Amino acid sequence: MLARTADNLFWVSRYLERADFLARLIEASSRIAALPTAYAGAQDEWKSVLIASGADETFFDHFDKADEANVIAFLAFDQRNPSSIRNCIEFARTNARAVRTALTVEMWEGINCAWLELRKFEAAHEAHGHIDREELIGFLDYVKTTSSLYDGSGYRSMLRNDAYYFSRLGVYVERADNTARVLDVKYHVLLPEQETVGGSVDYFQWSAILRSVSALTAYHWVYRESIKAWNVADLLILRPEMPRSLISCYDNIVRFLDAIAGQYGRQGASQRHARNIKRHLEGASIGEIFQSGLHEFVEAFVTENNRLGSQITEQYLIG
Amino acid sequence: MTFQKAIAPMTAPCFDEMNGGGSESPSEPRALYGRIARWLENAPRGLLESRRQQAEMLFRRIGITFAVYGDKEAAERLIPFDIIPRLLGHDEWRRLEVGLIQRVKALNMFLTDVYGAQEIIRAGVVPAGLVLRNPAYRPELQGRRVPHDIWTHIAGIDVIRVDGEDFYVLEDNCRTPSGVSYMLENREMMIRLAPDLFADHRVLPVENYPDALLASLRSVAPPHCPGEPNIVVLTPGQFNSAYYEHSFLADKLGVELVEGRDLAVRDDVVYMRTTEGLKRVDVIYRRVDDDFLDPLAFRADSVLGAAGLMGAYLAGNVTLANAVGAGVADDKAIYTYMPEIIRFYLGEEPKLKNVATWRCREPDALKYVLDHLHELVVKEVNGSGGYGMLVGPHASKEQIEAFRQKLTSAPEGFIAQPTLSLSTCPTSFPGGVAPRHVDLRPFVLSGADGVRIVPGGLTRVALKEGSLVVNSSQGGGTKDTWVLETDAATQ
Amino acid sequence: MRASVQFQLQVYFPEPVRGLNQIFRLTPRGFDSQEVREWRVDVLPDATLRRGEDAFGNVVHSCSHDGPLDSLTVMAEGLIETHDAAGVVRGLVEKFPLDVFLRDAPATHAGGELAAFARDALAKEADPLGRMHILMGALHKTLTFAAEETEAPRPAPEVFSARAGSARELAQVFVAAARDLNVPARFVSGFYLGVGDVGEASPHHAWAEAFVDPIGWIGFDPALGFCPRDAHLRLATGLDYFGAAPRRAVCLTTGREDRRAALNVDAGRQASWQFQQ
Repeated sequence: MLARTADNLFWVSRYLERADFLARLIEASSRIAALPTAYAGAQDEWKSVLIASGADETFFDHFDKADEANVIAFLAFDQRNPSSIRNCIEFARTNARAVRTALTVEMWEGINCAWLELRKFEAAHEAHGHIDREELIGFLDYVKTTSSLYDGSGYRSMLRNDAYYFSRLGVYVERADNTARVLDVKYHVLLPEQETVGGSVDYFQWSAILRSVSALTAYHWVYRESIKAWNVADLLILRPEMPRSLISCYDNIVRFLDAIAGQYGRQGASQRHARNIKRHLEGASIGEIFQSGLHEFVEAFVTENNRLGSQITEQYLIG
Repeated sequence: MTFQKAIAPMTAPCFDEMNGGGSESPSEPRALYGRIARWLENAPRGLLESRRQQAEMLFRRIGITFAVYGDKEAAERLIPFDIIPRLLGHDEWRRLEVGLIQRVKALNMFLTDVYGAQEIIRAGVVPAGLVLRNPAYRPELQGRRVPHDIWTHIAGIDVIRVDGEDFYVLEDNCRTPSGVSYMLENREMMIRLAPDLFADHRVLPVENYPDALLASLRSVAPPHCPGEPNIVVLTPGQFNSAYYEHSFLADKLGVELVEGRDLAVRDDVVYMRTTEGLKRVDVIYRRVDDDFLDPLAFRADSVLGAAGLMGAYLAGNVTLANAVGAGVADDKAIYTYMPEIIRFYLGEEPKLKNVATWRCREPDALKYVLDHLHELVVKEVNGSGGYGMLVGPHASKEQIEAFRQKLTSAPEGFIAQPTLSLSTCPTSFPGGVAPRHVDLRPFVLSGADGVRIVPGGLTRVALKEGSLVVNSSQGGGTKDTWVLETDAATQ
Repeated sequence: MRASVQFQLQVYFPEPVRGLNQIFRLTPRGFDSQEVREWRVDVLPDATLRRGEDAFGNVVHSCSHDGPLDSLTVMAEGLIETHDAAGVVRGLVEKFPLDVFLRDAPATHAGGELAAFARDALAKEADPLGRMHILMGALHKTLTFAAEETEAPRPAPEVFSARAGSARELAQVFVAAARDLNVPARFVSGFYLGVGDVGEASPHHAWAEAFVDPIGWIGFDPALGFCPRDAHLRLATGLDYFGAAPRRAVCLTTGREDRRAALNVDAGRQASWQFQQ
């Protein structure tokens, strides 16, 4: 297939996954921000959301204060923020439009309808200058639905060939990145010494983390105990049954890279690198990770994951 | 679809595809349209309107849109679709078909000659300057042969009717005619929205167009191409107004849709960049204009083409469809010579009529034109999109005088035509049904193995009352074109 | 004049480039007053140089480099013998009817100011040959010849308004003015083998040819103000600069390039005889 086609498919998936993540992040943070200070802690929730979404640098070029209205406007609708939800959907659709022939009708219609829908939300947002909470919930739901729809219709209708593999690869590379981002921003509330302090503050932070990666229910099924920092980190990094954990993402990345290599009859740098990361995750225990530093671990992971992205680009997407 | 139709508004009632005669006269509908007339009569109130809305919704969902240059608001607009089909009897179609085949054969022979021996110039049939100084003539191609001497593989010939008999050619499109995706999608829409009406008529299918196109493209692969040729569609990209059509065609053909940046030329061979490395390309159905094909040969600032493409083309390692330089045959000035061109190469009388044209470069013609400015349409030879055009019956005294001066000072730049009235066809509106002017663009495919035409084409309709402008960029709409199994006179 | 000519162009890419495609029109053709004894074109790093001929009869070499490439050398050298024929070009195989050389193109469209200037200058002269000489003289006097070359030549009207331009720009101005007067004209690119006159900035030179009935094609050099003599080595011709450019290059990665060109002329040398190897 055309290198550019693979590139477009890879990025449609990445952008939609990112939009989905941002929607969940905003949702979870709105809950924390609405809690009494005694529960939410003194830390600046909206600022950490900006950091997690990688928008903290550009944000202050345009706004003075990181309050709820500003941050949500910037993350959801602002064209100036390259990773705002509206830009993610727009970029996803632009990419999808460039490879219409590689998408099934269901996938294209899903994403095209979402884009048409986006314009309505945007118009409403522009008309009032802000968006009220009810509308926001509707918008975030719509974003999540869009990415599920694309994901699901791809799963149901795409031929299992390289087009499908590249599309899936995009999902998992982005997802691994997003999960790592949350961990990185919130690592301080996951540190063991914080746990000994205990108390309600951390409890709500942890549940917010779980919510932002839609793992709150999953947590209870896996651990059958109340939320503990140690477990939260374990769940998000090392539990293979948790679909957003780093290790689960890498299970899939390795699988789809192997499928591509199988189809083309040729392995390469990205296959080898992905296998290395996966082996590294498999060999790790949560105890060791905390011992050698959660922050350092996550930081190293983000770097390696980005490197994989570049290797995939170099190996397949430039041609 | 950017050329403006420069036929002045009618002064007398004109031929109506459904009612015949003048659209004003409430005569019996033609036998051909009997079922349509009954359907329109019996349709419950609001049916047409609801179908129209359904069609719009479907088109938008599939994303069949076109971009209008310089119109940011409506960056992706729909071309209005009209639910009432335009019908042609089988006999009418056969007459049109033989005329189209003849015309496209002559166009290809003309191009072969113009880039070869130039006999038609030496014979004095077409003036040398008209060809050689034409912007669409490409000196780079002089002395070159293209595979099987086919230059315009896909031609769109715009025809109109003014009565029940003759078809007039309004314009030949030999470069990259668009609109075929609408022909195919309109049919799908009709089958979906008016299944009974469709089933009542025996309509000749158009859905085999992609197969016919593929066969034509395969037949012109470079002679030494081993095995199955690798065919691609080359698009300027998704911001081009016809991008939907490009992706649609690539999809239906089952070939890759490439942009210039997907191509790489190495040592006179064209490749496309794939996830498995470079893959050789043999035939390019290009929807990029000549000027932008290769920054090494043409416009140096083009990023839409591939550097070295012309080298590969001239070396015979890749076939471009349509050929570079084919545009010289569809020029407005050359158009006026089409009857002579057909006679010169084929020794036959043209089967399709040309709209009578006065070439102002000829003194007698100029005199006539100057005397009749108020009733003629005067066009600039190299103008397009309706710029530099005078519609006599609609023009003010000042405009006419301004044109008189232009004509006197540079007559060779102008041609003039009488005001013809395009036929009308019933068209639905929120308020009811009314006659509107239509034209027809059939698509003619030329391959090594002959000419292929699917029965039908794109019927364009001017939605504004009295308007003769059917261009999509100017608010024109489209209709499905039904060529029936039976002749026009059969009930 | 009899000379051994060595041309060398060195190109440096600050950012290494990939997928470079180039064409060269660096091979002179022989005609009555220009004999090419031997000639070769070479490129470094090595690449297959394909030799072909374009529609105007120019010899065109083309090559592809995958890269990455940070520098490149192009060489053209050989032995030639030229004679002063007062600019008259005879003995070339002409590929086109004259109408082609009246084509209007953006780069060589005269525009109002230049057209009026040319008409004024020629008002008193009726002889076709005399008219072209006057046009050359008038342009030479009015426009300052700047040996420094711009990246791409500006369109003729722009150059005329600026009253200054490089050799190739002045040549295009001449072509534009001649065509506007309905005289078939074409652009010529070449080397100037004389010393001093064209400056050190670039060994490339350019002039124009006009078709003067009944003599035929005659060269006019508006930059130097005289018809080509034996110091003009004619390389290629075209409707405008772009059709005759000595080198055109496009690469995948858009990169800046720095060029250094040098021309070495060893005049009066006898061509050496060749022997069976």
